[in-house]
Amino acid sequence: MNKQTESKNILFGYLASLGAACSYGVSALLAKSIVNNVTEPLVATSFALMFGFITLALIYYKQLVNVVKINKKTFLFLFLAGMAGSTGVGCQYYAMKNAPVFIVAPITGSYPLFAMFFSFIFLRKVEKQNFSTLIGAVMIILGVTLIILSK
Amino acid sequence: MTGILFALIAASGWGSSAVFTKIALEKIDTRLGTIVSLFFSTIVMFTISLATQIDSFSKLKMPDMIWFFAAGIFTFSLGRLLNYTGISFVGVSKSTPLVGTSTLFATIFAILLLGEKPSPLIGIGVLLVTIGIIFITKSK
Repeated sequence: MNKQTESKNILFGYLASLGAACSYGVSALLAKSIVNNVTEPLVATSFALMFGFITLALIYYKQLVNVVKINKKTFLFLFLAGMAGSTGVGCQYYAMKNAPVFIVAPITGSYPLFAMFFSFIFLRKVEKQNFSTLIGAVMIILGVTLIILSK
Repeated sequence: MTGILFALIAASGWGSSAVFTKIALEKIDTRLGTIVSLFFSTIVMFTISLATQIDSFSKLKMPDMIWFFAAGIFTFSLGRLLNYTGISFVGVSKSTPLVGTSTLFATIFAILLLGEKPSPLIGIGVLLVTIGIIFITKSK
C-alpha cells in the first residue's frame, strides 16, 4: 500500500469512528425518549437490533452469499463481539439501577481504556500502542465524564 | 458495590467487544461482519428480554415500531457499521476513544434540537474531548 492510500485509509477510519460517535449521539436522544415513553430498554434494544439487522441485510444483500465462506473462528469472534457488546448494554442498565450516575458514568465511560488494555494483551502483533493515544483516550474519558456529570 | 461491579462488567464488555471485532474483521468484509454480528446480537437480546420482560412485549403497539426502527438505523445499521469500519481501518486503540465521544455529540444535539442549556462544566468537557481527539489523530 502506498503512502497516499494509507493516509486516505487512516482519514477514512477516523471519520468513520467520529461518524459512529455522531450516530450514537442521535441514538442516545432516541433511547431517552423511548425509555421514557415507550418501553423497557432491553425490549427496545431487541427490536432496534432486529430492525438494524434487517435494514443492513437488505442494503448489502449481495454480501450475504459470502456467509458460507466465513470460517468457524471468525464466526466465533463475531458471536463474542455481539455477546460482549450486548452484555455491556445490559450491565450498564443494571449498574444505573444499583448505583448513582456519578459513580457509574466514569466507570462505563472508561471503556476505551479497557479496549486499549485488551488490545495490548491480544493484538500486540497487529496494533502498536503509544503514549499519545493513551493521553488522548484519558482526556476524552475525563471530558465525557464531566459532560455526563454536569446533567 | 453491585452497581460498580455491573459498571465494570459493562466497560470490559464494550472494550473486549472491540478487540473481538478487530480479530473477526481481519478475514472478512466489514459490512458482512456487521450483519453477522447484528444477527447474533439480535438472537441473544431477544432471548434475554423474552426471558426477563415478556409482559412488556404484550403492551407494545404498532406505532412504537417507528421508534424502534429509527433507533435501529442510528444505533446499529449506521452506528455499528461505522464503528466496525473505524476499528478495521485505524485499529481498536485509536477508534474506540473516538467512538467514545458519542456523549459529546448527544449533548450538542440536545442543545441544538431540544434547547437544553449548556453549563460551564460542559464547556470544559468539550474542550478536553477536543484535545483528546487531536492527541489521538496526531499520534503515529
